[in-house]
Amino acid sequence: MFSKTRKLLFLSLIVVLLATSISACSTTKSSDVHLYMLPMDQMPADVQSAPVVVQEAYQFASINPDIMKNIPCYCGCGDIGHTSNYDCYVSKVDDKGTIAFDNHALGCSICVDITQDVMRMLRDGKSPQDARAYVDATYSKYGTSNIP
Amino acid sequence: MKTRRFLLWTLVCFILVGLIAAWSFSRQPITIHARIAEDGGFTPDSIKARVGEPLKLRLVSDDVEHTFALGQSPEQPVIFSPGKPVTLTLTFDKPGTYTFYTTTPSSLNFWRMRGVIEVSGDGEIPDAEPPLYVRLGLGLDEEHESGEEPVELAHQPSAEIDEALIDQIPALYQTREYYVAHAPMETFEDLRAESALQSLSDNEVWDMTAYLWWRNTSPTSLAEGQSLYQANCSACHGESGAGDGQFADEMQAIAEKNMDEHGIQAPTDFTNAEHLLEAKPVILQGLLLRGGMGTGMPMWGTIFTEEQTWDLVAYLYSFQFKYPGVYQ
Repeated sequence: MFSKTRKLLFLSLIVVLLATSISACSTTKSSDVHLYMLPMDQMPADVQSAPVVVQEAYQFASINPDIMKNIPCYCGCGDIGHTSNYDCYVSKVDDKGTIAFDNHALGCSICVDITQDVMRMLRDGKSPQDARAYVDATYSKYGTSNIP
Repeated sequence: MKTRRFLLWTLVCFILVGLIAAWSFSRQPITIHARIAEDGGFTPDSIKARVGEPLKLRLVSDDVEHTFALGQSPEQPVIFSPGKPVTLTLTFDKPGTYTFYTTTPSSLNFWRMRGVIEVSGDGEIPDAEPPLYVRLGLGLDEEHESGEEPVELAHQPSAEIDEALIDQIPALYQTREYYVAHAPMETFEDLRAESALQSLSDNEVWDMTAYLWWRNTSPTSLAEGQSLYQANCSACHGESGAGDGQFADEMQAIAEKNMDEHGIQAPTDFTNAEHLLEAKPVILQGLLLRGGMGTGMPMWGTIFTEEQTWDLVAYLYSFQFKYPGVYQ
């Protein structure tokens, strides 16, 4: 009998978990994955007064070069020497690790949209490679990649 | 035995309550809060949905009046204000990522108020094709001035010309392919060089050019372009296209402070002949799709359909050309 009760308990747990997942299927940002973000107090004043989506993009891109140097930008900035979406936020990092920020993304629409897409996909548990494939498929309809 | 039965019923009740609660929760609308872009924009800005399943949204403004508009969709924009939430239901028939945005110029960065609805399910997502300007090998950020001399018009070119003048236009200029790939100034110069048109005045050749541009649109397209422009562009470029929208001064001040040609710029003045008459339609369409390169001009590719981008391009030229009907 005890065994049957345990089975029922287990079954009920499965059902409740299933129900919870059903109810959550239309929810929003997943917060399971933690994204590394540079603290806002380390941002230039122009970034600190920018819209929140721009602030987040700077905070994320500037501290994740390993990801963002492999994400292309489609705003046309290849013509000014940018070789990835990372370059839209950071113009230089010196030997001590001090970041010189680029103000390009402050007025750039696609740059920030791409970074936000990457952040969203990583939060959803997707890989940086998945994010790049999505960015290429989405934004190649509007411009040219700055990663050959 | 009684204990076992009691446990069994308890578990059944537990399961039923769980299922009902889950079902009930899934029927609740997702609440989207809106604040001006500087204070957070739309929250959440990412929503998931499935093809064919109604998505119920409750729109709540936390500060000022906002709009919820859905790109690539016939859905009409919904206005909502503080204390007056609005509920709407969307149903998608194709998978893909849909952009929602505001058309209310609530702050300088109102164009940053965007979010996405990721719709999964059965259906094909068309393969991406590069935009026309890329296929034609054109760059959006190069100087697009076609002539050596600045454009100077003695009168506003009018598309309302006599049949006799229309009959003189060579067939080459009357194709869609020609229109999209040439600036009006180039067309004027090409027509001016035609030996058969040497007897015409410059004004008449400009009128021919205006006629050719008008031929490539329609009253419906111009009306749609005008509607899109007033809803989405006029806050910066101004209702009359003079680059004097409500945020123009702020953008000008930022541009002067930054002194960066790849940074935020003052909005383009479409009433300036040089800006429009030296721009090819395909370049204007590309700029709409992609946006400016850091200039503060948003990308509209995820929002406007291909047809809408051409409607807008056609309407922009009406700031220079006099078309039959009243557009300006």
